[in-house]
Amino acid sequence: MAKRIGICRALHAYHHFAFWRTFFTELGWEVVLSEPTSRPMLELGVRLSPAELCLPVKAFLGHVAALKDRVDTLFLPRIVCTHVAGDWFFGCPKAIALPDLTRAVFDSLPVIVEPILDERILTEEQSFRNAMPGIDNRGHVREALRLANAAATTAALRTRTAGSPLHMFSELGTKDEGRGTGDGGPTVKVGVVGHSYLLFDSGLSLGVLDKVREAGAQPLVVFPTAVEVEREARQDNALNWYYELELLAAARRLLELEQVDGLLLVASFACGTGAVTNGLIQRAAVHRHGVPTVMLLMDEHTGEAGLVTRVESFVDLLKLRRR
Amino acid sequence: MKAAFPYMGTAPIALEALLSTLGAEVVLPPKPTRATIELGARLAPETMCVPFKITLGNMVRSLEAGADTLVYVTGSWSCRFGYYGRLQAQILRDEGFEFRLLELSHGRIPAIVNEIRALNRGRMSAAVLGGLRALRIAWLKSTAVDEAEDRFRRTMPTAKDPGTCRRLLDTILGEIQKAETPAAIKRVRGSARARFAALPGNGRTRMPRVKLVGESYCVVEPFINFDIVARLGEMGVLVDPFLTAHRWLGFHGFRLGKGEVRRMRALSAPYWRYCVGGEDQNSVGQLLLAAQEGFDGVIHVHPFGCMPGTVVQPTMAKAARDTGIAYLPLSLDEHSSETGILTRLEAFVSLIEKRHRRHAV
Repeated sequence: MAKRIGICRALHAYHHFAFWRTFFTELGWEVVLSEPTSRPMLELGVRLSPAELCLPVKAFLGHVAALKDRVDTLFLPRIVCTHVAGDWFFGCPKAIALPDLTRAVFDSLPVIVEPILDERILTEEQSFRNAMPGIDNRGHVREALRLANAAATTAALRTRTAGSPLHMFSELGTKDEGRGTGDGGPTVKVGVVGHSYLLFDSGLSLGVLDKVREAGAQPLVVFPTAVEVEREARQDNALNWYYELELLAAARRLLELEQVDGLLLVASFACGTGAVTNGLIQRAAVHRHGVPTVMLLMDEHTGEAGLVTRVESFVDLLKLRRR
Repeated sequence: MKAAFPYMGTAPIALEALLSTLGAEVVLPPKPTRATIELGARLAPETMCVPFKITLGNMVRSLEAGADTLVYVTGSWSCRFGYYGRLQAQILRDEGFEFRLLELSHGRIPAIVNEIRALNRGRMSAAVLGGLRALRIAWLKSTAVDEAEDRFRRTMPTAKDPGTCRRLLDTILGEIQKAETPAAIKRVRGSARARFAALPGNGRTRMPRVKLVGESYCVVEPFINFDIVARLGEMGVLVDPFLTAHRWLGFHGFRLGKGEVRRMRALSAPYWRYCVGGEDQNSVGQLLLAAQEGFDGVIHVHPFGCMPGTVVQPTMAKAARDTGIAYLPLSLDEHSSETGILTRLEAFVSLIEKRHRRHAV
């Protein structure tokens, strides 16, 4: 009988879902993806977490609550360390600690598959095999990983051309919760920088991209290539967080190549890594490129009206500067 | 070279001895105050953790006082602590300060050796001898401070006048700081025990014991934790911090205390299987150990927004529930108010006293 493995539509699923889905499907497991973040789901997550956690992690716990009784296995990877350009780059501590956090919050849980993805000590194959002791067929795992990596490469390419990672979820038959960034039309270009799991989860970001569009500007989200990320990794004072390198690379392209009129930084309140990265991006945008920036800090209390006002006034300011 | 380093509890006493014996001039920043924290908060990214803001404010003061080299003890991975040196250097340079950045850690020993050699005008033998002498003096001072603080923590709850006890600690620390030879340091160290023992007592014989765990800076620096050790001491509670400035320096400088880290990892394994920094694994392990050793309560302190400190909260609470030990988490930042913290401490102390009496009967 096929095992049902639950994957939360939150956090790093917005980066790696194509990989995970292909991998488990190849092993003959049935992948169950949680529904898009809804208000009740988020509220449950907020109630379960300590007040100081960031919004995406709170939402993550809401997703776990929604999934845990529908599946017999739950996938909670620890994304620890990635190798880029001869150096090691880490995930965020909160994301690394997810399995422990989940176990502390919930009393009853299905079996947890928690591969430790740490390239310093384990190969990808070892990580996944250690996490799933029931699977002995080495060749099978290796083949599944090969296909998963191929799927991830294709997905990354599609994410870059579509300007949105949501296509990864749509093939499972659930509806897309937002649109990619279009082109043409409006004159003012607003670069938007933020983690995919915040920006493209409209339950968390309240559809901030649509708000920019409705305010009469063109929102632009870019996804950096591996080469661009490596370039950030080679900087003298490079940050040691992999997912922050992606944001820095995206901001660099928006400022240098796309020549956006303004930069909108979307971050969650209490995002520890964001405190560092957004400071660096704002410094670069304002001091080096003379591009105005505004930072929207999202938490569970963020109201839609407040968001609209801030986006509209920012777009108005950019239009005035253009004239 | 005029060196400055961030303030952290009593660590500056040993660091000053180390650097000045090596031949560097040391600019000691004034102890952190409200003004330091506000200065740091103005320059730092808004949601950065509070130790960053305090140490940044410190560094500005040191640079204004003429420092030209900033020395950071560092250790880097996914916690923000690893960036303190680099990020602060960037912010300070943007503010127009000029200085050299020197990061001290067990991983940078060759660079540090070169630095010492330069201080001795390139003579390697002098550098080695000087280095050994500096390490000896720093080590002696560090252990003497550690012992005095330990005496202080034990005497405080039974002292008739906590104020005198507090002043005695300050006097002894001052003497250690001034002592220049190993013999002088040993003399102060030898007298400390007797001087604390000579303080008049208040007749209390049994006292509740509380373990202090959490993020290193918040545990070690009295300014940010509102001098929690002395405050609880005044209330008649014996506080045992899991970390002191001495142990912190030993761990980050020379990787001492690895055995304890391994023990904590094994102990915390049912709850916390992967260390992400900020003393998360240690805190869980120490809580479980405190429960085994019959402590009456555990207090966890962390800077507001500290990534590991926050994410470990539900686990700490669960471990405390499972073991039945009283547990109080305190989140600290530049907006924490002394009154708020004191109220919570008082409530916590009355809770553990009640429990303590019940167990004692």
